[in-house]
Order: sequence, then structure tokens, then C-alpha cells
Amino acid sequence: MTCADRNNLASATAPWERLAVDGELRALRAGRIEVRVAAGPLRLRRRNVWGEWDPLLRRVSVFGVERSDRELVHTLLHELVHVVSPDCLQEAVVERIAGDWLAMLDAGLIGRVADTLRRAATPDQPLWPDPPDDIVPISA
Amino acid sequence: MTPAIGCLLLVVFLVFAALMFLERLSALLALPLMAISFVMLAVLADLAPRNAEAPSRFQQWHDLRRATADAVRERLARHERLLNAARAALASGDTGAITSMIARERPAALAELNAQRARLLEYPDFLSKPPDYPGSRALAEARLRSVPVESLLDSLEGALRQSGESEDPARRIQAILDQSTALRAAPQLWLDRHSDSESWRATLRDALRYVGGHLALTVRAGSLSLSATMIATLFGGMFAMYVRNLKIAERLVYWTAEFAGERPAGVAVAVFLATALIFTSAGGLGTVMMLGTIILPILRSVGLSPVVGAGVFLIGIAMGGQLHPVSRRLWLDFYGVTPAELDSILWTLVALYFATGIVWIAWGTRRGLRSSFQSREAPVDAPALTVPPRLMIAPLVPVALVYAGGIDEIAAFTIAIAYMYLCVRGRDGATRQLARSLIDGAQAVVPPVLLMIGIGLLVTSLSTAPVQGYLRPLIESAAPRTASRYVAVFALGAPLALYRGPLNVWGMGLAVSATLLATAALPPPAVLGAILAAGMLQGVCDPTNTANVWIAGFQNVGVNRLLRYLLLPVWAAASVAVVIFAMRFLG
Repeated sequence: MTCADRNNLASATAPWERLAVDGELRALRAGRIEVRVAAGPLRLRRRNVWGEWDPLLRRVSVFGVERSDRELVHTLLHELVHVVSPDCLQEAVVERIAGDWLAMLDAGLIGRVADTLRRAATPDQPLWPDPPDDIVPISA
Repeated sequence: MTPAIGCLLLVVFLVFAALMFLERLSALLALPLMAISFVMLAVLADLAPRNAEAPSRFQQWHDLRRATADAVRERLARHERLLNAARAALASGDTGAITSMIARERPAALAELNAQRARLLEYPDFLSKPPDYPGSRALAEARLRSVPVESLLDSLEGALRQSGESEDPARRIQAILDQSTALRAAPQLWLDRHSDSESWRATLRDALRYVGGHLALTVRAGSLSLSATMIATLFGGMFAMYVRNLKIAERLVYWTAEFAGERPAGVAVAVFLATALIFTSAGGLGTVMMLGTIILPILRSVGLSPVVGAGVFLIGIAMGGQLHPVSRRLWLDFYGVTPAELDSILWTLVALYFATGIVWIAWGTRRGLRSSFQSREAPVDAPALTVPPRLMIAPLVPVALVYAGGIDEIAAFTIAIAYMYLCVRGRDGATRQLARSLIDGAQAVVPPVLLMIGIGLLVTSLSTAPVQGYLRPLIESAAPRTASRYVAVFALGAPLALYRGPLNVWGMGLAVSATLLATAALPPPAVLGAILAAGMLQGVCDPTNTANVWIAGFQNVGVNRLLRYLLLPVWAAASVAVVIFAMRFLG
């Protein structure tokens, strides 16, 4: 699916529907997609990350389970768009597709998926450390 | 019998290799135990009676001790004759007889001593490892010199020369004779203990001395053999701790990342080079963790997969570590290569690491492999400037002094520490921080120093005549001698450095090297090159490296997954290195 190919959204929802039916993340795993959920956000340099798609490891990571059900599932859908549409590189477009996708789901399903994600959460995540107080800035 | 004992030694080698490989025994214990086992096995095999035309090593040792006893006996007899003649002359008041005796006896004593030395030189110099352990020749010479023939003649001559000035020359000569009589007690006692050299008790005593002598040689000379490297390691540890406590490396990485901007390849190359620069003189898991917590998120933030980021960091660590002055000192001491030969090997490997790193970054930063994020921008606080930028070059100072300035490692570390202190001397508690760093740094390197003692023991045991005698024929027949066999064995076998395998640079690889060096099957630079080439895999990919374990955990990937991704590119680089060394040292 390309970014502009909104008509193919139905095919993109296929794994998501299976996910919902199973109530777990087995379907993604069957597709050799690893899903990891971390309790806190991933703090990288200059950004707080909520979701990550690693095409090399074929791994979806969702961070920050303390957020609302809709935010949490939105993150998962965002990364799933990357999975099913690897050519789509514009984050703004991916974000919009994920938003449309989320709007198609009923609240009960969103709640069940969010609960599943929270149950799978692990506490450990690397954090971007605070810089030393006396670091030399680039203007030095 | 020789091949059987040689095979037994190889079995011992393989047992210890397996124990290390399976992580049942750490190298810290395995290397000394292997050294002792080698020596015990070979020395006990030497004691076994055999029907050979040539005398066995133990028989030669036994004969040498008997020859030494004979020589000491001759010297004692001559000494006694001198004493008696001098006493007789003194009793008759004829000091002129003493003068003529000295003139007659001095050349005769010297000729006898030279003849005795020549006889002893016919035997091998057993248990010799100067300057750490005197061999049998040095001990025999000391035994001969312990009989005070020459000193008696010298003293008598001096007393007679001063007889005009002395109030009572006879009393003075008598004192000299009494003193010389007392001095002969020690060699006489030694001779009494060794006079029955043909009895079974004497043979048993000699056998025990033969075993004990080899064990003592292994422990004492082995412990001291890498002393220069150990001291360099202490200084390196103190330097690294000071760099760490001053937070120089962290600042360097932050600075580099800021300069590199946001382009993934640019950031990765900049961080890769900064890592290599820092690890030219720093090291240890603490530094890896300290820098990893900064570097790995930087690489991840520009989209590098955790595997790619880990690879960039690991290759950078290995590239810098290749030039570490402490390792350089070890290679020089252990392999006996010239600095020029060593530097050519090290810079070749650095170039290959660099090429591997660049290829890895080029592959890992392709758009299709970069991570995508759903993220929100976080504010960055502008840090304050309180550290002089000239402190940033401190990690480079020891390497520059050693490689460009030709200064030895210990002096280079000392200068670098002094330089850093001068940069921060105005701070509150600067001296206290320096002192603390020196103490902590010395404590931090105790494990590698202990490992070096084990390495020294192993090398010394492998260089003893009994172990060499049994092992050399086997290794000589198996060692690759042509360039093509060298490439085939060491390029294909490079992964044997993984999982603490037999080509592991800091474990069994040193034992393999020592064996190859001891048998002179390959020139030392070729052996070193092969081991360091295999070490590329160990340094970057080995799942048993504590650095790899920590990085994999931090990146949330399996340590063996890192190995799977990194193995092929690093193995290819190691193979290229082996080909280059084959052409350079065996072509």
C-alpha cells in the first residue's frame, strides 16, 4: 500500500482484525513481526518516542502505556501502517492514515487492545541521559 | 614416547580450552592451571627411564649437578692446599714462601676454573630465564665462586704488600686464613649433601629438585615476565579513570553529536570516530556503559536500528582499542616483534576496522533499514561552559605520544595525566580528584593484571625445555608454513576466537601463539597478525564480551542476534587482514 492508496486501507486492517479477534498479538508474531511494549516513553535526543518501527529487526515498539486507550492504539496503528506500507516515509501522512484507521474502530475494541498492550508492557527502556551540567556547547 | 606425551599435552590444552569455552573455568584460573599442568606432565615424563642412545633431559640435569659437585670438590681441595701451605709458611715465619705460592697458584687456579667452566658449558642451561630466574649455569658459577680461592689469594697478596706498614703482618695473615676457612663452610656443606650422587636417594632428591625447579621457574619467572605490561596497565587504568571522572569522554560525544547535525550517516560516522578516539586510551565495561548510554540513543534518535547502532559502537570500540598503548606493550613483550612490525600490523587492522565501520554505516543508514518514529520533540537545555576545550584532546595524548612521539607507554600516560591535571588545576578539589582517580584506576585494572600473570605463567611453561621437547615435533608438523595454508587456516578459523575459543586474543589464543612461537613454525609477526585478525571477530562480535552483553541488553536485542548481523562483515575484514599478513610476512 502506498500513502495515497487509501482504497487499500481495508487490506491493511486485515491483520488488525485478526489481532482483535485473537485478543493478543499472536497474529503479528505469526507474520514474523515482533511487538514490544514498554511502560515508559523512549527518551531519545531531542524527542520523546511513543512508537517505533524497526524494519531491520521487523520490530514494532510501543512506549508509554500510561497514556489513554486511544493514544496507545493510535501509536500501534501508526507503526502498523509502516509495517504494511514500507514505502510510506512521510510521518505526517502515516499519522493521518493511522488516525483514519482509529476512527473506524469501536471503543470496545480499542479498550481491549489497549489492555492487551498494557499487559505486555516491560518496565526497562533505555533513556536519554541528562547532559552533564558543564558540557561544552557547540558554540565554544 | 615423545609423540605420546606431546599428544597428552594437547589433550590437556583441549580440556582447558573446552572448560574456558563452556565457561566452566575463567581464564584467570585456567591459564595458570594449564601452565602448571603442562610443566608437571612434561617434567614427570622426563623422569621416566628410557632406552635411548642420547641421555634424557633429567639424566643430563643429574650429570650436570654431579659435574658441578666434582668441580666444587676440586676447588675445595685447592683451597685447602692453599690454606695449609700458608699456615705452614706462617708457622715458619717465611712470608716469602706465601708470595711465591701466590705467584704459582694464581694462574693454576684460573686455568682450573676455566677448565671447569668449559666442562659445565657442555650441558644445556637448564631452568634459565634471565633476568627473572638464574639458570643452571649461573648457579654452577655461583657454587664455584663460593669456594674462596681467588679471594684468599687476593687478600694474602694485599696483606703482604702492606706488611711494611702493618704492625703485626702475621696476625693479619692469620685473620685472613681464619676468615677464608669460615667461608668454605657453605660450599663444603653443599658438597656434603651432593656427594653421594650415584645413590638412589640422591637420584630421588635430584628428581624432586628437577620437578620443583621447573615449577619454581614457571611461577616466579612467569609472574614477572609481563611485569612491564602490568605496570603500563596500571598507568593506563589510572589515566582511564581520570578521563572518566573528568567526564571528558561524555562531553566529547555530546559535542560530536551536536556538530554532526541530523543526517544519520553523518552522525553515525562522527560518533564512530569519536568512539574509536576515546577507546584508544580508555577501556573497560564502565567506560562502555558510560558512553553507551549516550551514544546508543544518539544513533537510535537518527533512525539507526538498535543492531546497526550497536555495531557502530562495537566496531568503534574495537578500532580504538587496537591502538591502546597497553595492548601494544603486551604484543611487544609477548611476541618479541619490533615496534615497526607491530605498528604495521596495528595500522592495517585499524584501516580494516575503519573500512568495515564505514561499510556497516552505509548499509545500516539506507532509508529502507532506518527506523520510523511516532514521536514528539523534546526541549534541549543549553549547557553551560565550564571546561576548557583543550581538555577534549586528552584521550588522544597517550596514543599520539606513543605512536608519533616514540615515547614509551608509561611515560605517555604520565604526561597525559599531568596534562589533564594542569587543565583543571584551578578547580576546587582538583588534587583530591586526581588522587582518587589514581587509586580507583589502579584498583580497576587488577583483574587484567592477574590475567597477565596467568599469561606469563603459561608462556614460561611453554618455553621450558621439557614442554618444548614434547610439543615442538607435533606443532611443527601441523603448523601452516606456506602463505596459502596460513590464509586457509587463519582466515577460515577466525571464528574460533568467538566464545573464548582457541584463537581468543586474551585466552587460548595466547597459548596457541606461545606454542607457535616456541616451535618457530611461523615468524612472530605472522603469528601476531593471525591472532589479531581473529581478534577482530572477538572484539566486535563475541557474545561472551561483557561489552556486547551490556550493549545488547541496552538495545533490547539478543547478544547472539548482534553476532549474526556482525559476523559476516567482520569475518570478511579479518580474512582480508590474514591475506595481507600472509603476503607481508610469508610471501
